[in-house]
Amino acid sequence: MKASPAMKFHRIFSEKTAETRSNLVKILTAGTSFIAFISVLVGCLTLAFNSIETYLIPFFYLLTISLAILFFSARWYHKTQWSILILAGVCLLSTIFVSSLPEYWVGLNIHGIIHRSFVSGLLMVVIAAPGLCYSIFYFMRATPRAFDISHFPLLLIPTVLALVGFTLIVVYIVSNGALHLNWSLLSTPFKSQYRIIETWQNGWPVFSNQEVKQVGMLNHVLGTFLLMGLTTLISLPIGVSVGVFVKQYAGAKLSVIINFSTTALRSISGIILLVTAMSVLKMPASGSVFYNFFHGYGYDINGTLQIGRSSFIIASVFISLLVIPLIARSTLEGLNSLPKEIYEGSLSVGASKEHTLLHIQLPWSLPNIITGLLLGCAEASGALTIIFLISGSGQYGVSPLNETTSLAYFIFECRYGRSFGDTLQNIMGSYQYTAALMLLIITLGLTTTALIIKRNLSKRYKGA
Amino acid sequence: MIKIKSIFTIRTVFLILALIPVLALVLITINLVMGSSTAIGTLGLKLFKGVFAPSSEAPPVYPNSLAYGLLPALWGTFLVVSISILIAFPVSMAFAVLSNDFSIGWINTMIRGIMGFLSGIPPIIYAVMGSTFFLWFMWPKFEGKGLPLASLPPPNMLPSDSSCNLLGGIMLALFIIPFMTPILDDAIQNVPNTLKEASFALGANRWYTLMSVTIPYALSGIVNALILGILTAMGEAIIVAFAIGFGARTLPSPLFDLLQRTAPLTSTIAGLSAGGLTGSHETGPIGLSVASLMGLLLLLVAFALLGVSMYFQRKFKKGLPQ
Repeated sequence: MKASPAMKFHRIFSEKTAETRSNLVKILTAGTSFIAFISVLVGCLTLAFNSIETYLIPFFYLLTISLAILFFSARWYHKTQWSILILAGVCLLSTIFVSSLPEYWVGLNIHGIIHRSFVSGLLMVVIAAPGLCYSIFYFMRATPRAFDISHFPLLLIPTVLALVGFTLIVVYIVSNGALHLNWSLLSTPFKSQYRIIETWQNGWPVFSNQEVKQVGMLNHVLGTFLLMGLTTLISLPIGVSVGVFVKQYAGAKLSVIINFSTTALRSISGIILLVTAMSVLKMPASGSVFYNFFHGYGYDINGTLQIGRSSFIIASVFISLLVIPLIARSTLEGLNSLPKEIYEGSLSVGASKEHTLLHIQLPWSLPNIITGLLLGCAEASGALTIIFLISGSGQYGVSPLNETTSLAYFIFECRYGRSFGDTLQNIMGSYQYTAALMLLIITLGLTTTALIIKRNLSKRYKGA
Repeated sequence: MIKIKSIFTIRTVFLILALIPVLALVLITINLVMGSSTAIGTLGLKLFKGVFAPSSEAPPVYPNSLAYGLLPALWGTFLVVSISILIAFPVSMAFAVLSNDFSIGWINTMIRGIMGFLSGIPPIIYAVMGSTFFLWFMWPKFEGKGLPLASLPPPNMLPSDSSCNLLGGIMLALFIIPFMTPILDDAIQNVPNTLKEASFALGANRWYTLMSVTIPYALSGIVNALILGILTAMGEAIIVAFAIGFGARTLPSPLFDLLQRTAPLTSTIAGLSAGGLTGSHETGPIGLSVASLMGLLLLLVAFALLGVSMYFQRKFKKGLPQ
């Protein structure tokens, strides 16, 4: 049967409309996703800055309209998603709410007042992020793959915000610290003492004070390295033997106890260790030799004995309690990664268990141990919670029996020095960001080296 | 007869060295219990008052007037930890998911590298940046910048000293994110590929597989990461001391007021054992004993949470196929 021209025309017309409608839906959903993306961006900017919230209201209107359009374009895929319409309604309500807000929201029952940019930015992000997901889903033809891809904004928005926060921290520290960074600052020790000068006038001795001031942080840098070294000396044997004992010798119950205590030492608060350290420091009687050893002593420029608050040894003993679990865990990882055939091969050619341990297992897990040790050193250089009440300005020298000091404590004292009655804040207060930069360089260098070793570890032989 | 040579084996050396952490933990606990006995004996039920005002306890001691209520510090700990976990957990979960199932190209390598790099930042850096963040983000939002004086609320109503609970929570969250992300990443990475592939073969998409296969399987690891994150947030002293302060007098008047300063347990302990950092007080023996008691509370909570974490891990290991 021959088709009549009218039917032909009708068929062509309906096909054309289908095509144009599908193109129209594509354009509309693309526009919606673009508007939602811009809205998320503007919402985040509004959360950061104060002055752009008035430009947000047109975006709210646009978002409402485009969400409503999205609801009807979703009908093209034979889906009636009422949640989009609800979202559009919420968006409309919040538009009215935001446009009626005064600049400052006073009279709330809280200790403060709220600027409208906070409320509107938060509402914008909360509404636009699901809108972006829905519009990407319908832009990609509502397939299962589109369902996956449409969830990327939910993952990307928080991660990007967090990364921006971290970048701000690092950039601020570097840009402020690099201003004052020079060699003479790093090569001079800090000093603020009074030298007693004896002069003879008319046959009588006359004493006068001469102030000795030096700006620098050599002793703080050296103290950080000394803390790292002493912590390594104490925690390396203990940590390695914890790992070896748990893997090799311990029974089920003993290994559970040791595992629990090492995990607990890592995760209990550093402030508990501080309280314990302070009660240990009270133990020896004042004036005894142990008192000097525990509290750290040094001689000032007049040769007078100065007794501090805690020596490097006591501080590093308590810091190493934090580092032992790290080394133990990495040793255990290294021992577990040894392929079974190498271990059994060593036993089968007649080596004893101890020989295998010393010549096969420990050398194999050496890179793991070094990784753990580097992370532990980074921990020790930044560990302030344990030492911030028991360390001093470090002007009487740096050796295991001197008073504790480190870069982290330097930064702390620049902020809170005045309440302790120290002079460091007055002299060195403007160098706190430089000290922070030095600390960042040390710790980030250590962790980056650990990362590189860890990446190289994944390339070695893993057994059949 | 015991042979002397058989005692001094390499095993004994390892045993002695391995028992040092256990011994240290036991000694710490004993020290805290002994230290807190004075506070419990003197104050008793008065520890549950809502007022905390450390006094010098100069002679004569008036035990009735001593106000060492633990409630403000406990409430502060709860507030700060819940803010930081509410921010940090979804963010680190997003990082972990992005570096495993939803990775595109080199994103997973980059995220792992960045997180390893960031985990080296010591807490003092976040503490120093706290006041700067307050100046940038909090002060313009929550304080009357550019408002005429007449319409300002009374000055004691405003967040001052660049410190408030919200700031402490946010800085703690930034501190926890690089700590929690590798643990969550490990937990998600350890899900066997065969389970995921079976799910894909049955026609499920990636998001559905993540929600109904990967996360339920990795639940014990996720709970473990959550608990370790809570413990880290609870035990961090420097950041909260800089961002909130060294002691809270009373409970906040609307309980959920985030713009007030309610110092948590850790910084209260620091303030007490420093002898009162504000300079106006010197804490005596009872104050130090209260510090030990607060430390004991932190320790017990840590033990309880670690026990829960270990229980979860053991239960899930038995229940699911390897």
